[in-house]
Amino acid sequence: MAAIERPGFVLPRTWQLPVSGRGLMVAGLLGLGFLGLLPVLQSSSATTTGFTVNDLELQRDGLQNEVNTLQGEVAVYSSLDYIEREATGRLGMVVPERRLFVGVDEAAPPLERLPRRFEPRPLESPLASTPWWQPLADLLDFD
Amino acid sequence: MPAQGRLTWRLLALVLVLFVSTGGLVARLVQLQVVEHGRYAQEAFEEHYAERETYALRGSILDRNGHPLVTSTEAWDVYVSRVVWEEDSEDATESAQGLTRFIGGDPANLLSYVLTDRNGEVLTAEAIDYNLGLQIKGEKLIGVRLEESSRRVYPEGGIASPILGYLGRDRLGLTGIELLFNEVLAGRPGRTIYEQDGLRNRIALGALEVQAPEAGGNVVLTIDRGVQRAVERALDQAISERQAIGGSAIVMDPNTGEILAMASRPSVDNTALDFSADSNIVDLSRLRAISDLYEPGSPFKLITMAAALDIGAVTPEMTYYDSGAYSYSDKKIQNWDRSANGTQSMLEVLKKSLNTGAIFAAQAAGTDIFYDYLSRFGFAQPTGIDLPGEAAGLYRLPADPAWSPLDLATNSFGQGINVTPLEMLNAVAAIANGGELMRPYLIKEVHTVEGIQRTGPVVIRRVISEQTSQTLRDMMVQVVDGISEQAGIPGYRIAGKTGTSSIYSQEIQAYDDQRVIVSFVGIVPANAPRFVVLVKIDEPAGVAYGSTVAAPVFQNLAEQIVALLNVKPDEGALVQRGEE
Repeated sequence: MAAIERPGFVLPRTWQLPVSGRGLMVAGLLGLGFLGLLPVLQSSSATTTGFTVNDLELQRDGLQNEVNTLQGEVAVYSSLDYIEREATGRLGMVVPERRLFVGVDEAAPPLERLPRRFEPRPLESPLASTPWWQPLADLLDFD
Repeated sequence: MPAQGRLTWRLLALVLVLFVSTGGLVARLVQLQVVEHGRYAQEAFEEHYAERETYALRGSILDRNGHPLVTSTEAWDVYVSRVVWEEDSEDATESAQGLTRFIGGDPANLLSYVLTDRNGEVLTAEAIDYNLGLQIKGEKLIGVRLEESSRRVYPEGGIASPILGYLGRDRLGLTGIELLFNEVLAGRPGRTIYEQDGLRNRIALGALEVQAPEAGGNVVLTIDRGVQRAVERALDQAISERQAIGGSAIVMDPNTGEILAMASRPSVDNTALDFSADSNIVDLSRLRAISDLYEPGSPFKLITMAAALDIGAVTPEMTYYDSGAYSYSDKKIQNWDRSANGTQSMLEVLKKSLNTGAIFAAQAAGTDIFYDYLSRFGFAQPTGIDLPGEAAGLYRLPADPAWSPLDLATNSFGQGINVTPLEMLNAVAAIANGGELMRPYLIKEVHTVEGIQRTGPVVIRRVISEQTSQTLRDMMVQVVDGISEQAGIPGYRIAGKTGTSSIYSQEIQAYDDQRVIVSFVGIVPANAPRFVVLVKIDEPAGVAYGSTVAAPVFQNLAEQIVALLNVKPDEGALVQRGEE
């Protein structure tokens, strides 16, 4: 009894990829390799960010300390002793001996308000930027 | 050959060994993982995690307009490890030379100081400048460690030192506002818990728990830095010129009870504190204006007159006959100048400061009513000011078996009665503001992260009527008009009263006329009072009276304060453009 030959499933010529099966396998492996690299990329980027954050924190603390030191200096420069020294020493001003009271039409200046530098201020949070690969890494749900 | 299925001794031994070993392992595992779980978990935590405390900057104490009287800046404390320096003398010498380039001193002395200390780490410099500390850090000196610290800075110098108080070495407030508001000012240190590697470096991606430090809050006082500075300068000048042993001065807003300035001498200077050198520092830290008692003398005649006027027992025009003396038993009380003035009005009593007239007014009011008014004016009671260490005055009441009519007589002109300067001024403030006794206060606002707490005026009670207040102020204006050279200011109507009180000497068991306290209380302006002032100078040298020593200090002060507080002069004192 002669066997009936049936042709196997063959892709139409127009559907065939211009690469061999081996090529496909290599490409697949490369793709997997790339996906495998994503966590490394993420980890590397996070480490870099971590170090940057540390550096920025140190910088921020340093700047805050500098601000506080400068505020102290400003306070000293606005002290009455300093103003008097500058007025009498550098500018050659003298204490008035005679006082006149002159009526003016202008309204009195507003009362001096508390300088803002000695009021507690909330800290500002920095804006974050997302790297190009982050959405891909998110899809893979790496921890 | 052993029989099949029989347990030989060898097999039994093996099973036993395996059983015991397994049992031992299980037991050990139970011990490690169950029994001692806590300890090992803690050890593992300490190995893997580290904790760092973040310093919280201490808050500031500000004057009423927000100018800092004391604030903090970052600084460093420099520690040296004695153990490390002992290990290598070459390294130690090099480090000591490097360190003294920044903190000063002799390297050999520093070496010897550190190596002879019994502590493992020796504090070699305290609260050094922040930038200087960074430079030392950059040098990476062996055995040298810098710890975050802070330094109290006094932009206005040492003004208001006893009010502000100071800190101890542990950065805790020891006196004054620093003590009273230590919790608010200190803030809360932050905490960072992070994962670390084997070299104890922070792992960038490791677990992290951060508790940010909470900077200390600010305390805003009612003190005005300009007024406070003027008061302290005037007081120092008067004490120096008159060779007095001390004094006090207070400026207060009579309408609210706000203390605008308060100073006492002798006193501590926060900018030049040296705990090791000055054993008297605790005594100097006392704010004598609220803690020390004195016999007020003639300004107390205002209280006597207020009581008598208020119940209608006397009027300004009412007269009495001044024979020059009041006698009780074998005691004789004379006027301060030994004068006898004949018929005198109550106005003259205040103008001439007649002791006999004050006795007349007190007797006219009646003993019980007189002492009732003293109590209503707040004498012998703490005023309730928000500062630690306030004392209350002292006097003998009629219920006391030792009391006699002589007490009423002496009390009427401010002798035989003890008050604090603040008590005295607070009573005068009640005369100034229309008759209400206010609670004096120094704390205007407290700023914390939770918000701002404000203090407002508190009326304790009405003491005299508005009419009495006005009448008495008018009488006091005439007192000042009589000594306008010493106490007046052109353009302002001022009410006031001088005082010269003798000091009781324990040695001679009598009042010593050579030792006096001179004082002046003033109300500016008399019509619509903006501030009241008390100046008290203790034991000035030579012949001294309130009018010659204390009144000029008041005049000098009042002239400055009207400008500092923008107090408008009386109508008619204004100069129109072109007139000048």
